[in-house]
Amino acid sequence: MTGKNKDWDTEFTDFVVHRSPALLRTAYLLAGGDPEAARDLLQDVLERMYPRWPRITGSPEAYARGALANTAANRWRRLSRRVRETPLAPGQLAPAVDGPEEAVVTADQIAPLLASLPPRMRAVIVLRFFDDLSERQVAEVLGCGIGTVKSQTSRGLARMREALRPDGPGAARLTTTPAGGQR
Amino acid sequence: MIDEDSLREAMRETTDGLRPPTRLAEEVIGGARARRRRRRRTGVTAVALAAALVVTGGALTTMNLTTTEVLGGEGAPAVARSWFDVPTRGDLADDRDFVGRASTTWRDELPLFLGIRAGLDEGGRGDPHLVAATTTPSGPAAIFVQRHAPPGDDESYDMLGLVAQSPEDGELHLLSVGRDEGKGQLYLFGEDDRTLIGLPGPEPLHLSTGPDIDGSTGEVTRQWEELVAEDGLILRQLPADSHAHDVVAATEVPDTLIPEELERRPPLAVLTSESRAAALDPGAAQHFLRPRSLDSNWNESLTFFYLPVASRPALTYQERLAEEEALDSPDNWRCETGENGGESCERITAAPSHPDSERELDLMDRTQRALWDSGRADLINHHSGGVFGSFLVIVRMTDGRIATIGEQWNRVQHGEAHAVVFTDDNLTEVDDFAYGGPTRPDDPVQLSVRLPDDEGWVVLSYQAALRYRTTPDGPWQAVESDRGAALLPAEAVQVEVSREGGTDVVELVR
Repeated sequence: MTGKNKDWDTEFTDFVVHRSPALLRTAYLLAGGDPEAARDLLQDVLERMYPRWPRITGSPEAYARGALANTAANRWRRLSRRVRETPLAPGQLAPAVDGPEEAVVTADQIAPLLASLPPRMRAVIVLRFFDDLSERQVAEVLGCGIGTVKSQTSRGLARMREALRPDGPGAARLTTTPAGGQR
Repeated sequence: MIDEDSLREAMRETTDGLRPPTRLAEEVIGGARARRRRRRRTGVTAVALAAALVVTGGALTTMNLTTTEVLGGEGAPAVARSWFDVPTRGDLADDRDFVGRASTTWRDELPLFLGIRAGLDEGGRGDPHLVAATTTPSGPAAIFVQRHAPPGDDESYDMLGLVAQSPEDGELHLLSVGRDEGKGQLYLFGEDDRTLIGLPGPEPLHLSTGPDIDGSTGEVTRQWEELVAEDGLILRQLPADSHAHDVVAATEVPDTLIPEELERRPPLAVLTSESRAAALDPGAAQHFLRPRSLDSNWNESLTFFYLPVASRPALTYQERLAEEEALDSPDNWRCETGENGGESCERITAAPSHPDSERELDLMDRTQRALWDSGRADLINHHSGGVFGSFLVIVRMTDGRIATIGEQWNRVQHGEAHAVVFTDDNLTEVDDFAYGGPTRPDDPVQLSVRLPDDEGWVVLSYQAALRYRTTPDGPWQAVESDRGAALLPAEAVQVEVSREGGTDVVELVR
């Protein structure tokens, strides 16, 4: 092993050891609460990062978060063969008109709620509200327009709200297995 | 709506106990090295099989397609054929002067496309091979292939590039370089990028020079032709009215192209002269991709116009965003410093809910979806990204129906004005459509659509003052407008557009 490669391994190992706990949390949410899928997702992304390590400019953690979100979204694209950019099935066209009160989400509800969202929409919600990225940053990470981020955020929140209603059409989803478990 | 603070807290709480495996770093590095070994094995086998390629009259058998099937595995590159071991094709293959000049150009200008500046590590490169040299309507052209291993990367790949005359100075230049994906490669070059040259792939390639748009309905279709190679080369001169951005190639039989298939098997990239422009000035590349939309110079990122103005919700989406931004004032947050020195903050002022403004986004989505489902959007174009303008005119018609009017981009030159009429307030069903023709960013009236059932004209001239009249010499009538959008009666024949700098009168053509 060359000296350069040794430094490379040391730096990368240091990054994985110190930042993987935080990245695993993002991966867990992106995987809809499936811990095994989250570990697979994180390992997949880190393995792809390793050979590129010397050429990653800026924050490696930001790079990893972007890669996690895109890999999760693309995994959905590959698996479900749906088109990108806010495709709506006819059954999903009910107006997103809510009551005036705001629904409160609890920790035991959040994973199945996220699992009920399409992965791209889920990625937008996780990046916005867990990783605290701005709409512009989310758009840059996912390679879409700010308008798409706005509409996906709004629609994602509305759908979660709908699923939280005890008699709502999405209520049953709260008891289903996480998205990753359905693969 | 969901309480966002509780959402944040729930996500933090549910992930608090997660711990990665203790040996994750070792597993990751081990996995990455295993990937590298797989790639190298694949590469060696591919080269060995490529040597067994059979050349028959310029057409290649593709026996090495089984390479990936045999090796399989994630990350294995799709190897369809090797261009290195085939004789140079084309009528200029033996023209030593041209071949020499083209080879020098390839060697000298390739670093420009690889983003390599003098003195920096260029990585590894194999020997270039001249795949084709031929006469074209836009002058002599050559296609080269060369293997490239980027610095610090364990993955190498083959680059295919076109050397031909640039219309700008008439000299030979490297115009486009693309990674060989094993599907064939197509280039557009020459005056206005109208000469198509390329190498066939293992599957038949089909070409469409652009969408055809029905003048009365706005419905979009594409005509396709199969690209048949002659002597191993594809060469075509495209029609004078074609535009490089509208040209699409696909391997799938076009009649079967549906959104799901497009996602799985995306169209083939057709490289244009913009490749060189982007290599010379990467910052300019972002301006190539989008057609000019009506809202290019507007102040708001998402704009919703209401007609009549009285039907506007209490707060529009744009206003709600501004209100939420105001809530980010430090006065609305309480922060505490924790034991470990970190600061945690919570917003102490809840954001009010504005369901009406959420509806605007729904309307925009539904309008886009209705145009798509009814064949008024070019699905091929749709695949490549956003194709709907970021504004919407929302009209409450006299019979109670809702009409939405927006701009759909199907061609690069301009957008198209479309109206979608929904049956009721719940927007459950699309009732009708109306087509307003191309949008006109530089004209006094930028968009006009005649609504069905004599419900009137929707006209838009952003931030202009509008009046109309019902006979060419009649009196001008005032009209209520929302930032330059207005609903005129069906009898209107002219509209007067006034803005700083002058007034124009525009005929409303039925």
